[in-house]
Amino acid sequence: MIEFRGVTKTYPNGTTALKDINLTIEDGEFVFIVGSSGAGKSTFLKLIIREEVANAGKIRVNGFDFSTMKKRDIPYMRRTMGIVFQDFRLIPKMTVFDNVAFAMRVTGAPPRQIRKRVSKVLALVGLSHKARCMPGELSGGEQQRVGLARAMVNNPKMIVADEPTGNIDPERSFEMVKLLSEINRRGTTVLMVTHEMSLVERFDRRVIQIDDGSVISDTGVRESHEDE
Amino acid sequence: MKTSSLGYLIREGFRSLWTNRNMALASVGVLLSCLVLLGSAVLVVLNINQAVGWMESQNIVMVYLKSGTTQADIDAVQSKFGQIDNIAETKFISKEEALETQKKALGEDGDLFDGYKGENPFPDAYQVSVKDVERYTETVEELRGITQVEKVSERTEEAETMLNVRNTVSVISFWVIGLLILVALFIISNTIKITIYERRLEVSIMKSVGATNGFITMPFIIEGMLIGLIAGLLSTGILWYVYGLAADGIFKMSAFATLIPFSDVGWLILLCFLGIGMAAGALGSFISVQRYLRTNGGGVYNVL
Ligand SMILES: Nc1ncnc2c1ncn2[C@@H]1O[C@H](COP(=O)(O)OP(=O)(O)OP(=O)(O)O)[C@@H](O)[C@H]1O
Ligand SMILES: [Mg+2]
Repeated sequence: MIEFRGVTKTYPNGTTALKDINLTIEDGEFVFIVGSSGAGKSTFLKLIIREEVANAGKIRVNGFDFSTMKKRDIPYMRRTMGIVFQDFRLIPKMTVFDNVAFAMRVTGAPPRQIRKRVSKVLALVGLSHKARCMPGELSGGEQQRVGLARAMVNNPKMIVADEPTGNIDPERSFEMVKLLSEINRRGTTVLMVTHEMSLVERFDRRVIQIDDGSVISDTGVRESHEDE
Repeated sequence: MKTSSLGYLIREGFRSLWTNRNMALASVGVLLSCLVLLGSAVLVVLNINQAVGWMESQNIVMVYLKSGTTQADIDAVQSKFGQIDNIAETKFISKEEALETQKKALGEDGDLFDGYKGENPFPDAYQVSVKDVERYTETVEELRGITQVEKVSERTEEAETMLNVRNTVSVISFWVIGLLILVALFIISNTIKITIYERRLEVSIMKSVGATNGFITMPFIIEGMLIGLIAGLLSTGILWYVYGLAADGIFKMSAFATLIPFSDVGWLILLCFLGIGMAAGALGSFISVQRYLRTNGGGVYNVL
């Protein structure tokens, strides 16, 4: 669950990226965050993953209260979420399998469990047959599915994706969101930033629109089933 | 930490050392020079201490009394000796004994002294051995201060020179080694900085999936310690070889002067070098990684 109460973020250079944000995202929701460039969408995600610290207001994420959380708790808080980047961020010299396994290895998971779990998430994103490929041998859409598999591998409560479809073609983008919907149907909260309104319109989901640092519309909680 | 993770971290350390071998080589080089210099200084000091110790045992201070001393004078001198704490032992040599010894030393020419019959040219004397050679001069001054004492023989110049050399070596090497350790730390932390920079994508992913800072730091610390380990092994080898050459050279110059055998101190030196090297490597790395993680480089977004 995500709770923002009166959150304001001003960067050190004086830019106020978010102003007095109040919202709640319940466990199991699927939310699109939309808005024009520079609106503050990425800043919103950075606050959620604790990459940036709010100047005012209260933030709670997955049971962690950011105002009382210790610095050394940040890694454990991050293990409750999976992050997907616009530019995939795969390690070029590792196979698909190792890229996904890496995320488990660095949290100290035992090798046997890693093998089992990685196979499972690769199957989930439909890339079992590409496990031994290098990222460079995959299409953009496939690379992003590897990114999603990596985000899923530690079994997070929530997926946070900043323009995950920004670098892939429209048809693959649609499949990507369907995949996220499937993951959401299985119980994972999904937060997806995008500025492709045509894509958002194809799914009947909660949409939070940010403009110039403020929430200007929020369709609220929807029934969590897609409706193309 | 689980053993599977440990294996992973050590492999990562080796891998990163290999990818980054040129800078690693530079680090090994500086650390190695530092250790060889340290070892040389220690060996020079140890050898001088040994040589001076030997001289000290040989070097007995001769205290000559004024002529015409009575038994009361001799007793007085004896009790004065008791007040000087740096005296190890004393041995009285009467003028008669001195004459006899001298006669014997001259052998056939000993009868030269026959002309002195009744008038012995030697003074009564004491052989005094000093406990602490560092306080030698001070003790000599104290001996001179005794009223019945005519003169005190000076210490050999060689011992004095050697002590000066030893002190100079200690002071200079202390500063040079201190400086070199700083340089080594600087170079190691820069080497690791380059490694981190090359692996910033991996570091940012580690941060995004919730790896702890300790876990992220570990492979780099291991890489630093490997640098230290290599430098420690190589420098011990180099020192062993050079010391062998030096010992040979000194033996050729004078068959009586021998150096402490390397085998006496070799293991200790190896142990210290490995310890110092690995500690420096770990510290250099640690500084570098902490700095990286504290700045924006340690973030999840915008690190590429
Ligand atoms: N590190 C930073 N330092 C200063 N200003 C920043 C920083 N990051 C973002 N900003 C500013 O904050 C505002 C919001 O940026 P943000 O990245 O959140 O926008 P966005 O909605 O994600 O835009 P886009 O769709 O282009 O990604 C912008 O005006 C931006 O210039
Ligand atoms: Mg953005």
